[in-house]
Amino acid sequence: MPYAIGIDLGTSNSVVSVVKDGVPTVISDEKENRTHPSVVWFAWGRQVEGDGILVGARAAHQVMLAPEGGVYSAKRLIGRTIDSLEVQKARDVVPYEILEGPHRDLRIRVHKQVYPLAEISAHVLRYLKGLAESYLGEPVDQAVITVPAYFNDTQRQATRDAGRIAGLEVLRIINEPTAAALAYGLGANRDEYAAVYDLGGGTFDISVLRIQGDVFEVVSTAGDTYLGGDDFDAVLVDYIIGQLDDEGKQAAKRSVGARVRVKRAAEEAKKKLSYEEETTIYVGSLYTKENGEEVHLKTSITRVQFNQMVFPLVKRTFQVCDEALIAAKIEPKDVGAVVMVGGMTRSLIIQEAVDSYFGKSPAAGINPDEVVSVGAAIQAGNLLGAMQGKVNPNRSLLIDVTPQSLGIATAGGFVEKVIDRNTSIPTEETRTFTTSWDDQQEVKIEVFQGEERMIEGNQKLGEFILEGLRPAPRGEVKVSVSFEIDANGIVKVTAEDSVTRQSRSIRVEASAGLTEQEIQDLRFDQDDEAEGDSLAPSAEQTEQPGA
Amino acid sequence: MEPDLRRRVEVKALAAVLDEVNNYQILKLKSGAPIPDVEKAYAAQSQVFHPDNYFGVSDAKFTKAVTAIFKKLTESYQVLKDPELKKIYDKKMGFRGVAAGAGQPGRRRRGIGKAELEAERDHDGDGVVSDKNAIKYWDLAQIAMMNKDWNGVVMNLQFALNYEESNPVLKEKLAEAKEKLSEKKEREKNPYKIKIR
Repeated sequence: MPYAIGIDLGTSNSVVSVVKDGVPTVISDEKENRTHPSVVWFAWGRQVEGDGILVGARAAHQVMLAPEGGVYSAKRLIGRTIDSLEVQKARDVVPYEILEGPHRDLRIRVHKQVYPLAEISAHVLRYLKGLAESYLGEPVDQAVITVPAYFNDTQRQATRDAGRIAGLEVLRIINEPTAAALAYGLGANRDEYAAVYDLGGGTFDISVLRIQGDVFEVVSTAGDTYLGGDDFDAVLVDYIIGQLDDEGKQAAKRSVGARVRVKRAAEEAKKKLSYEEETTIYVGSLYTKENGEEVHLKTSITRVQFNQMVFPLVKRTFQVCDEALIAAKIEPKDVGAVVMVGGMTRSLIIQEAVDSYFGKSPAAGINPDEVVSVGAAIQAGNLLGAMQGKVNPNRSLLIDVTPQSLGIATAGGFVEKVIDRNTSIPTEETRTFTTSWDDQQEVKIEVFQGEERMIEGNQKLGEFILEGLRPAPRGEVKVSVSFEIDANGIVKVTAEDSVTRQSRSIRVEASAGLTEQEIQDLRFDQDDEAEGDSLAPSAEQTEQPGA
Repeated sequence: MEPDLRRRVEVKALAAVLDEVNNYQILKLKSGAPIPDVEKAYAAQSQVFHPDNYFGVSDAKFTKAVTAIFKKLTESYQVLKDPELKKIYDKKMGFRGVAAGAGQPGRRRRGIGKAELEAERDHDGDGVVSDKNAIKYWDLAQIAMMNKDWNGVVMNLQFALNYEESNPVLKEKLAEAKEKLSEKKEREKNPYKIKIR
């Protein structure tokens, strides 16, 4: 009987789990690491085993030695466009070059090679798949992959594409906080509201769930895609660099290695401040002066200082919590349990702030790094069980919601909502469109995701044109368009001429993403002969500057 | 795994009458049942009708029917778990538990949507309009006013006037909005719309 794995594909680290003999297990690498850096390192002519690509702990190690070959934080960029704020922010902190692909997707350049972003994530996924296969001693082809609740359609599709490139059948994309709740409540027969406070490296999500026995119903969810542990680090990085003189500031700006070391020192200091009132920050060999003198940086910071600096960030998370609780029509005191997810929630300031907001300590005994992956494995087991028609005593049912409203453009630059946020998925809504002119042959429909009334504040998912309408007086041709959000949170649109019943199924072509052909060409699990060539399509673009 | 015959028949039969069952019936509850019962019933029925229970089933018709049933379940639950919406719904449907004299029990209508109930809860026409449909468009016009969406204001006021032709307030507001709209059109030309070529 095959296994299906659960993967928490994180911004900084990833975790893979599987339910084996009814027990969820987190899978380690050969060095017993249970979390695996989401880092891919390209050897660039250097001789390393295999295809010259390292992933996980070994890649992270190589990045310390040769940062130019490293690609990390790919999740911050997946499914985004070149003009997005996130790309601009990333350019300041990553050593690799970010380019635009032919379909408004993102590509990155490392050692003069251009790779689609989804391929980077696919390397991480393939690595995790491999770990699971060594652990289970058999091939694994199916997985549930988690994404932040606030991921939009484009980001979800891109994540699923990465899974397919890695040779995985992605049974389901599920939301990270929802997965965590599943792991928290499994088999405990609870009847309560639970809040999942998920502060990861790059994003913040809060979900409110109603748990009734084996049924996990997401009531509301809210998030901030620009708020995470990295922002806390960035505050500290600024503080550290602020201690240098002008020459030092310039040097730190120029050198990738210096930036990586400062960031590491910041992360370390952040962790220490959870149990120390004051900590020393030391960055050795930060840069070399013109006269050859090596400069080391030594400074210190107190917890009080740190708390003051990051207070605005902490406060922002609770504004998002307010939003989710209002949508759920409950108050903080109605929440029976707070489940903490993400490495950042280990921080003392977050623990204390959550305690004071909800009036109760976070639920104990939960590993904030692993709980999402465990939940994904449980859901993978649920779906596999349903497929096999197996009677599973531990089976649970997850009822999730769409985190963002879906709408269409209307006259005047407005968006008309078709499906409201926090609607249970899968769901479907139908709208009828009619022609405005005699013999009109086309209607163009633009689909958006977001909460703003004006187009500008929303994410455009794509557009499609209903064409070849039969010639008729205006108003006579009626096209009914159904908008469907499936259980993955992915949007599908179907159009049908209401009179002739001529129907056409349209996938909203993501306005940014890979084409089906590109995904097929990139797939790692093709025939053996083809495997070595899997990088060829991107390699061809090597010599096109700005491709 | 394909669903068994009993489940197939049940799903097919239920999907065929979805428009005719009311919010309590779909949850297999007695009319007017209290909120805790509603919550329990929703969990129980979801364990039967959530599409994930039939993950991997190849019969697209069956899957579609299950999805439609689940959607109806969810919408019914959304209404009945909200004390205010439930009260309005129960009153409209003439169910027990509603205080005597709280209005004539209405004709037993089957389909009262959540949006309609919400509109009733949130607005009563502010004394400006009294027709049910006019209230709806008057509310929409007011929202549009708040958003300075003059196009929307004009549209909705015109709709409202269809139901109350000689309402002086609607007429006055319409004239105002038309003026604002023409001013706005002068100022900006927005390139976005459903393009009709």
